[in-house]
Amino acid sequence: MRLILQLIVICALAAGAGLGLTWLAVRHPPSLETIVAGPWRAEATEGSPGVDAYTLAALAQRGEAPLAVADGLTFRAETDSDGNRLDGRCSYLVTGAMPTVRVWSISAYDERGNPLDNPAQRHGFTKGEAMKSESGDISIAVGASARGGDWIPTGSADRFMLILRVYDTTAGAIAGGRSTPELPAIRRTGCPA
Amino acid sequence: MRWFFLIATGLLIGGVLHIVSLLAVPVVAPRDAYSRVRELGPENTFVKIDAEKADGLPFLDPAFLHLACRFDLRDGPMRVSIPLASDYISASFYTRDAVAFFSLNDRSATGRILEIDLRDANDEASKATEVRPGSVLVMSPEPLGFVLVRALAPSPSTRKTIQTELARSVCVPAN
Repeated sequence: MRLILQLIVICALAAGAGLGLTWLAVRHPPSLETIVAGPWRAEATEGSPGVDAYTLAALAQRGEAPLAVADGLTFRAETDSDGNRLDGRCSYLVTGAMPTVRVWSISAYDERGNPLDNPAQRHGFTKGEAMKSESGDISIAVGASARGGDWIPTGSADRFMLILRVYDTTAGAIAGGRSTPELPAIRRTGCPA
Repeated sequence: MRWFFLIATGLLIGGVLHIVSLLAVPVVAPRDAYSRVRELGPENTFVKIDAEKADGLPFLDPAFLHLACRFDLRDGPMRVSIPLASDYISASFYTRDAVAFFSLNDRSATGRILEIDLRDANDEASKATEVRPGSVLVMSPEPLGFVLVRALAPSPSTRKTIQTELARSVCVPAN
């Protein structure tokens, strides 16, 4: 009787700890080889045969086919530059210099990976579309309330994320000798009370 | 002491279980990238994927048009041919578990069409045949996988033209 009880305790602990850790790791994968640039995060090896088991399991759970390393790099942002979670009811300005690459894009998604639905069907901007200042900086507004200039409407979404992709380049090339590339900041410009 | 031993044993087995289950996720995940591509159409042919609907594949770039082709190299090599319909086109190759093992873009093309000769790295018979002139040889580490084509098409005005030309892409058994 005592032995059975002990076996039950061991099994319960093993199942709880083991499967619980896996469940957690798939949803919030530990950052093993993450390139951090302000609010932006890129998994350096997700698009290569050297991808780690945690990153691969998280991709499989989301059903995502990552951008291959030779194709480009995917930077994801779930917060603004001050660390607050991105909220579709607020207004943001993505502003600063983009790395010099052949093609880049910035787009907004919900948590399931849908580009944010909006009547204008404007999901993001690419290098060719975005307006640039004389110094080459971009300035893209993101939020629910209409804006002049480049604007990504967030529609009725609350939580959302921004994805910045740089194509036909590598992390080393866009970093230009620095340890991390310099990417635009995400500034919150307003929030309804 | 006995309880310490019990807990330590439980956690140890738990650790092993964690590693095993983590490695199993890509294999058993019901809605992984390969399964999603399988739902969209038959293998050995290109199917269009809409970035606006995450039911196809999530987190695709909405500025791009996407084509996917599920390949099975057990019956021999495949021929993949993609017309360079837009300013930036890439073809990425993934294994069954969505590990990206190879990618190339329009800069690898010699003409106006990106020609690829896709073979199973373990297929000894195919090594005797020569690569077709003008095409790039891609060796897959596994017989099953998929190709994902990304074609830049941000402007609604040119999207249709690019889509029509991109539809001429082929993904077929080589023989």
